Amino acid sequence: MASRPLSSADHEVISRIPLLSALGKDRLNNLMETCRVDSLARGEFLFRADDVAKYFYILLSGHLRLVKTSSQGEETVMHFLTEAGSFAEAVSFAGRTYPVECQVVENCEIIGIPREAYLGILRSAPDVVGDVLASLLRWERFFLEEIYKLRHTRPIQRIAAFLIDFEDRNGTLIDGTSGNSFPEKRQIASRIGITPETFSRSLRKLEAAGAISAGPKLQILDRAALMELAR
Amino acid sequence: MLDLFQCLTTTEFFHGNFTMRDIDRISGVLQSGRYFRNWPQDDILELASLCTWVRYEPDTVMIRAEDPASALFLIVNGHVELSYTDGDGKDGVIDLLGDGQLVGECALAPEACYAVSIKTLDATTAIRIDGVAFADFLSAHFDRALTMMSVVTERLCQMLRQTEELKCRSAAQRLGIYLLADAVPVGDAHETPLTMEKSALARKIGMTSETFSRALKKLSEHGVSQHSNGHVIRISDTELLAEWCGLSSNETWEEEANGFKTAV
Repeated sequence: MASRPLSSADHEVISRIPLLSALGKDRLNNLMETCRVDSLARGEFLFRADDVAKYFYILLSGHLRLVKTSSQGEETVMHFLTEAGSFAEAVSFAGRTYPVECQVVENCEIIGIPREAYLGILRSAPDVVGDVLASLLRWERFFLEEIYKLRHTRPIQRIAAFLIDFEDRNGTLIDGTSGNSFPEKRQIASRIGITPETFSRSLRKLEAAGAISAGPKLQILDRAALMELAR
Repeated sequence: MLDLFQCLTTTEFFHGNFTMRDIDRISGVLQSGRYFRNWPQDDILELASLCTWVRYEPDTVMIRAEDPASALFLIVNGHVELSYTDGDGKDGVIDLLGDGQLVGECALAPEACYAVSIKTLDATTAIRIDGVAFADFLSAHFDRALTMMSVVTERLCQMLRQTEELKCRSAAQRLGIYLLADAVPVGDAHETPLTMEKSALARKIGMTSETFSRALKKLSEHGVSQHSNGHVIRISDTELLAEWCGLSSNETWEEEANGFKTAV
């Protein structure tokens, strides 16, 4: 794993992350002096489930997946991280172990923030505790939406919603010309909690509606139609 | 816990509901619960001074999603239903909570709004903790702030497990695991008493009443039968059922089942 010092562009990204910007410029600069940017290649693991969470992380670029593996060895994709932002902060602050594995899907640049260093600075700035809690609670919103979708929406709605959301977070159209692509179909099926058979049936329905092209690579053909099907 | 509430004598009114202050009694309840049990007595008393008793009738909305988050609530007695509203305004129940559970943690974040709506299912007594005052308290007590971060983390980990279970297991498997977690040996079998209505249990595990009935029928193929008008579920062979539900080994399935029950 290669590493380099932080650039001014990295500082710019960091300054937009609420968990860090809440510390104020001086404290944040002190914290960042101890950090470096690590480059990870596709397939590498950033951390494994049950490792002690000594760090939380800032994703600068690239694409990660968070995976839960059952005691029978079956993998479930819990989330794809594709946007710059912080993750693993809740388990890190609580001094727990990571509940999932984090694997690189597309080459990444990541900053690891040591838990002890962050909490040490936070102790000297207790007025920002509310901002830190707010940052943790954004993950609560994520899980609330996940549970709602799993309990109350149909597979075809979940696929449509996933494709729209993934493209939005990607920031560019995934239409076969930009070089960007959706994750593999089986990864998407795992991520949204659908069996491969149901996933294939639902894709055929979306294709018949003219909303997507299903193969060999997924493409959105009619975004408005897809949004209607997501409702 | 309801007796404790009924024996209180000082009253005031809050949001149209019957409420009262009683620092000593509130601190006793806070200290006996899992969230604050390790706090020093002085901190417990200070926290209790920020609290009021509140009592809600059944079917009362305690918290409305997207309203400004002004308070946390510790459920002392009763059951509440959490529902989530999506971007299109459709809503659905995502959890049921009962005694000892804390809700509305987002009131600790500056200018936050509630993420879910919370409605009482039966008469519910709770301790209301003022959000702004509690946030100020945490700013002055860093170790207590760490405790609250752990509370939020624990909630997130539970939601992660719940998400995983919803993704990976069928309705019948989820019901089977839930029943296994509460099963007690009776003769040469195990029995699980159902402590809530089947419709409520179905919602808690994330399925409709119809799916619940189908799941019970499916489980009957694996040694699960209903007794006492459906209030007691008998499991003829817990090991076989655990294996069918996808729990790992004989040594660890009980732990896994309990983890699942906590998650849902």
